[in-house]
Amino acid sequence: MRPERRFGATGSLGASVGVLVLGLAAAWASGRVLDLRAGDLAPGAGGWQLAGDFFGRALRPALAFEGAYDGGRLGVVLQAGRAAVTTVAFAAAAVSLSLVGGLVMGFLGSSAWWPGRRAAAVTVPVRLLAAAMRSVHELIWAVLLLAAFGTDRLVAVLAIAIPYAGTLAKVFAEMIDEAPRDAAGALAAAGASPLQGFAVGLLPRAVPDMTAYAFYRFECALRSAAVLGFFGFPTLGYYLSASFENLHYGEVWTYLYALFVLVLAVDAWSGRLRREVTR
Amino acid sequence: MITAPVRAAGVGLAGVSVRLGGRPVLADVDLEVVPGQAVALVGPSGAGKTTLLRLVNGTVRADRGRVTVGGRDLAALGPGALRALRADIGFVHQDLRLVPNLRVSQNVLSGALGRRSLPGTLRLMLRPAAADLHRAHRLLERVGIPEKLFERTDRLSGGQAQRVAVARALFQQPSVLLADEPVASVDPARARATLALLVRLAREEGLTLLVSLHDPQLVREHFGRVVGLRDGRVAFDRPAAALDEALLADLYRLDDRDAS
Repeated sequence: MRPERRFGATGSLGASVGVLVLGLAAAWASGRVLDLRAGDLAPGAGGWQLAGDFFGRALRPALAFEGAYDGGRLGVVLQAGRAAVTTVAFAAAAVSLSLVGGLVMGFLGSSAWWPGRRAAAVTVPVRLLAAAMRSVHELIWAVLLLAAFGTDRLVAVLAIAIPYAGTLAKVFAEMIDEAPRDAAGALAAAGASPLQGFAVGLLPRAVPDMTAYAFYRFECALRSAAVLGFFGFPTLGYYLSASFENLHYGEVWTYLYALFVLVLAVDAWSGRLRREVTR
Repeated sequence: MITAPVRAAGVGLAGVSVRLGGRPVLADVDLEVVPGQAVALVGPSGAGKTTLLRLVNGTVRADRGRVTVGGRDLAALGPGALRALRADIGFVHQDLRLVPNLRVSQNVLSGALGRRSLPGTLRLMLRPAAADLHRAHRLLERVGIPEKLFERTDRLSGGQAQRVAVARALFQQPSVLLADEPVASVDPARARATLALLVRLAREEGLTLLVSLHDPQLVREHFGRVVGLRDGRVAFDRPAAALDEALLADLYRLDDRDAS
């Protein structure tokens, strides 16, 4: 058993209270800086009208197109289905790319991987690179890449994959470094190389968490891919924004429900897979 | 006592001193263990038992003196040779140090890593050869839990997990077996069974066996020789049958200097 880091058993309550107080103070301070007033949120008559129209359609999503375009009785549903498939494809491509980058950088950035004190020479540059990649949001990456390459589909994939790889690298490195090292040490004491000890004694203990986190990032990637539709990529966001601009709120809800179903499906799938991994 | 001549290696410490973190842990220790001998190490906590065991597999280096295994001076070995030597020395840790979410078979097989290449390691873990798996199964039979071969290791009871740790050490096919307080955290019946198992297996395999423990009754039952450590020095070294209460009382006496 390794000793608990950060907070000891007795210090954790005090630390939690401290964090809570700090959070409240930060909320007050940022409210002052931004000049936030709850009253400003009161909508005008037009706002109430729009909100009423929009939320009134929540229980009546459109099946057929609401505008002049005739796509058949289930036109919107089919469109949502196609867009959902495209969204999944974008997210899957982006996450698989980011997984490659995240795994490589996560391993290189973890200190458990490197024996001795040479570790920092590799881990620090890798961690800096990962931080740089994830400090730019996928929407900003999209803007930059669009300016450079135009609306190629690879642009959307890369825009998601780059910051996600940075995030995965950080989280994977932490999970690897926090896995108990006792078994790896025992294997090294029995003649295994550091790499063998890492692969057999340490990595298996980090893999369940890493798998769960990768699935969570896939879920995030679905949302990101949908939002990148606003730039013209044919994901759910593209049709959603078009319908919203045309005031076709029933269609908007259809697309929103499609996104909701996607996220639920991924959640169910990852839950099953996680049980397999941890079984 | 039958001593199989197969592959046991002797262990020798000559004038060994170790300081850890500036504190002397062992001071001028001499100990000669002939191949195939079973030796119990007794002594109060902090006497240096664990350090002595770790000297033997080279995870602790001597500051002064010579440590030899099978006649080879550990200080003279390069990293590669030291790894090869460690592959030849099994160690059963008090806290077992198994990988909880691997199968029992994988934990047992991992004992052989010191003799495998990196690709060989992957094969051993993912698609082990039938011969390796059979050997792991036979070892589990000998420690009494053959039916657990494909069980997840964290599903086992403490006693069963301990047997997996013993099987892993034996899967190495070592010539020396070290066990650090293997019975410190188990009930008396289990302690007796575990020690009997270690001693029997070591004898059958012809291994040199060093075990640290506290219970004098168990020492007398299972070992031929007992070494008492106190304050990093060898307090006594004699046949286990000669271990009497006076000797132990003196070994375990509370130090007045510590109390004041």
